[in-house]
Amino acid sequence: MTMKLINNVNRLSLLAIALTAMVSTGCKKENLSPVPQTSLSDATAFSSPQRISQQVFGVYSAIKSGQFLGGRAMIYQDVRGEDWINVTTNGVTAFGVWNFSITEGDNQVENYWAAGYAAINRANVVLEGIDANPTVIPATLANQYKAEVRFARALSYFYLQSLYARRPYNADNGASLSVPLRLSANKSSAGASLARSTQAQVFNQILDDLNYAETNLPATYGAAAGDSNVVRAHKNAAIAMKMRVYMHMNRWADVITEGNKIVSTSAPFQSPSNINHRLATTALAPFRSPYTSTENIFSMPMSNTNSPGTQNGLGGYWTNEFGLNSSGILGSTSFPATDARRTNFLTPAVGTTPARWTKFNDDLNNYVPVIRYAEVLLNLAEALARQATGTTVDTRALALLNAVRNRADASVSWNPATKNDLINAILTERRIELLGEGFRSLDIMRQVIDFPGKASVSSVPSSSLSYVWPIPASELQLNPLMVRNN
Amino acid sequence: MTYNKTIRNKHNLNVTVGSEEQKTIVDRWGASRSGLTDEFYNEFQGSFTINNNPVGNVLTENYLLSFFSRVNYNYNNRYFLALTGRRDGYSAFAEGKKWGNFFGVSGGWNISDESFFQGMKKVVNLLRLRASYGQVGNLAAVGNFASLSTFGSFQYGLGYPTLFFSQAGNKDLSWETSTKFDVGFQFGLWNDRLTGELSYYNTDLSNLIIDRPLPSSMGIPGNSIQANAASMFNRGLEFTLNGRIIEKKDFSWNASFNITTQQNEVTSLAPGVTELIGTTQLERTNLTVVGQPIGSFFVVRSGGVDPQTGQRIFLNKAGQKVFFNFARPTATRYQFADGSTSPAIGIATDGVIAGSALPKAYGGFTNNFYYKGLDLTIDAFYSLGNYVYFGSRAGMLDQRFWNNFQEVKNRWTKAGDVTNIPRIVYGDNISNGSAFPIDENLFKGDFLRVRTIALGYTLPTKYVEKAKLSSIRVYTQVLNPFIITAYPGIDPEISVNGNTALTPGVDRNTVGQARTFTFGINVGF
Repeated sequence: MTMKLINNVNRLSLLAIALTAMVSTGCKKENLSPVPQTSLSDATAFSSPQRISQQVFGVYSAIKSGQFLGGRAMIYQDVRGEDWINVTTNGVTAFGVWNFSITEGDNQVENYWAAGYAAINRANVVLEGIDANPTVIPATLANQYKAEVRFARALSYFYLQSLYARRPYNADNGASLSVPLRLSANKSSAGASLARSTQAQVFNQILDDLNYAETNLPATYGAAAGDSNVVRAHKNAAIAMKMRVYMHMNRWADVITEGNKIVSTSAPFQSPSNINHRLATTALAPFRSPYTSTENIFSMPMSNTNSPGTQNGLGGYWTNEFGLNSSGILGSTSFPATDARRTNFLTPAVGTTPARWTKFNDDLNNYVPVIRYAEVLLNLAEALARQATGTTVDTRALALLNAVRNRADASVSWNPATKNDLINAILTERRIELLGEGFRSLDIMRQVIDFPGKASVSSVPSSSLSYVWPIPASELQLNPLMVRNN
Repeated sequence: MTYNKTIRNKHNLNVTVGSEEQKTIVDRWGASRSGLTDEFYNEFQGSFTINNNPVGNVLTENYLLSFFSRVNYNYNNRYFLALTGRRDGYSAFAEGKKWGNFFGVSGGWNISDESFFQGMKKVVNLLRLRASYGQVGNLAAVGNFASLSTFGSFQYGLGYPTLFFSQAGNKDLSWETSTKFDVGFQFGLWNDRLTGELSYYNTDLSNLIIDRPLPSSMGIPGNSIQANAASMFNRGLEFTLNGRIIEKKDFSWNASFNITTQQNEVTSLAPGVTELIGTTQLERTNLTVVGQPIGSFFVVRSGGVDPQTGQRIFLNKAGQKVFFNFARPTATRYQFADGSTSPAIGIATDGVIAGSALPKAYGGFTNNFYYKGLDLTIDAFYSLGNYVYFGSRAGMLDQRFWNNFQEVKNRWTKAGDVTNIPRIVYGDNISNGSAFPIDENLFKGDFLRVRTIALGYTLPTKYVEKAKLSSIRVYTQVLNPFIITAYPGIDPEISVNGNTALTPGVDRNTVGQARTFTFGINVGF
């Protein structure tokens, strides 16, 4: 039900005598320069500590957009993989993303790009605003805010390059064209032209932002800070994100270095520094209210009054738009009926209705996890496994893997015979543990392997143009230095 | 303030100076409620589980201050001259750019009042030449605070108030101007039995205020900034004819006809902007480029349906035939005639300008008949040379699990079928224009619409007076009774985007104009 109260005041006066009009100009000067009452002028937007704090939350709210990390980023990354079957064949809800038919004029291609760069420009505006107002807040707080903002900018570039770069970093060690690096604030029509950087340049920038973030972010916002330790960036979030970035550069030694900062050497695995992150006791807890388990490192907060928006919420996609592919991870023998992730999240197929995934069950209120401790453990496990000499099965890697597995299913443990079996086990476990959270396309592309076929959709080889997304048509038209993926 | 002076009965002078101010304040509150706790509650104040954000709150204002003057002079009601000047200030424009000065001049000559003309006056009772040239400022398209850069507020999650860059203002924003020149003549024949006017007009619109698009990688809110960034012209002929065709004691017939021709062309766009894309819902239907009418249609050309295979044939930018089959793997869906793979067809790469929603000519035709107490009015409107993009057809021939138009029965089914509907493949949203607009869904939109038919009867006074009333008229009227058009959709005179310059003439799941029947009695006491 919607009700609206409308009140319009219009005043019209006609003054037929010139003299009166002349007098009235004298006192109507301010009428010609009215000050907006519902938004702040750019002259005062950084003038108090409160306003600067709000500017920082404004950057978080940009990456939280339902078109970006609050919904569609995760959805697109998941449905490009082989574990989902599109049900609604709706072109505006990822049908074309799922079947790799997406074109440069498609709104999803346009909106995702625009949402990512809207967040980046907000970040750049805030970085510039903080520097331009050095006396409003103490320098340490200014550095912390800048670290939060640069963390958000790093996430934005990471998620943009993952779809628009011509090739994944690992395909050619970052030589291919990536997205344009916009690092200064745009507030006017000047500066429309900017060429694409290489993947190596973009990854350098992401790591530069994350290193700054790690140095300047707080270890914790304190126990009394509500959900701040989950919805604001802190040291462990920056470290965990660095691990993920290094995964996408095959820099295993660096993944291990970062991982050792936040994962203990032996079980029970937990972060020895900063916030004491560890796996939640149940597989369900990270996804249910209050969404602040010990496992949730960084999430996008949602509420009834601050939701991802129509057709953007993860729950709606996994319980309506898409169903689980029976030939995908759902059909794997490594995902037995005893697994808590199956018993908690699976609604089995009924007739022609495919199986549904209820990891997210409330589009308005479910926080969207961006970084979870389970991912951290699996990242570290994979790096350790790959770094092991010969065909050795790294024992810590296996222990990390089974920590994730046994949390959901104490009855079944992985027991790989070789290094390769271990790596494959970790990759399979990722598909189960992270299903619905936006990892499958990322994992396929960092390995530079083909997208497997699914239902009527053929396999997409890593050499194919549809392996990545096209650059949006509007960007090609309005940015003279922009070039297509070809 | 007005000054009138007549000198020696021949020189008539009228001077007006004035000022006008207009302040508009919009102060609007809105609210929404959701999460009803019990279906019993029907009122806003009932019980709901969600404390919703307000919706539709607006608080804004603008102010227009004008000074104007007009000097009218005529000599013996035969030669006319008028000068106008005005100075307008408007709050929405940038500091230092708020004021605009606009001038105009017009002249006329009543040839029929000249002595040499008197011999013809029995036939031509009025002949007047006139011309005018003038500028006015337009401000309709400008946002109230479009010149200011602002930050807005909302929330992040629960408990984190936000402030964020919400509008990039334009410090150069100022008046758009339209400069109109027209020249023509008015005439009256046989004591105004037939009157009319013919004129030529040319309107140059410069510094048009548009949302100048910017590449979205800049991250400017809305990806655009309002700017004086385009110009165009409208030119053509206007002709009006009014006739009192029959004038008898009990029966009379008056008719009026007019036609306006129109040529519209965009003459410039902002530096660096080569085109303005018009988006309808989710698809790009219109394009504005220099040298074409504003908001021209932009579609991919179709080469029909291949009779051998039933595949849709698209024409790419170079005009080559590209055969499309949704049933093939994604990578090879588009193929050239020789079977080699073609790049995917897309609106951005292969679209062409194909006609305009703006009519080449339009006008009206009105007839009034009176017979004793009966009166009948028929009012018609017509439009010629306009196109309509029938987007609903694209949707209704989409082969996902949707309803289809009956037309789908004509689809290709076997080799040799010659049809305009390709073979159907489940899931195919491309062949019939759903994924991007194609010229198969662009139709001529010429129409003649009878807008009103009204029939009335006024009772003779002798009966009315007995009832101590002054008049009684009973009437019935039909608004929009019928339309004559070859357009296959519901109504060629509709636009799903409303009255917008950049996306006109798109019919996408739009409801046609209603037909309204009215019956009534007017009683005068």
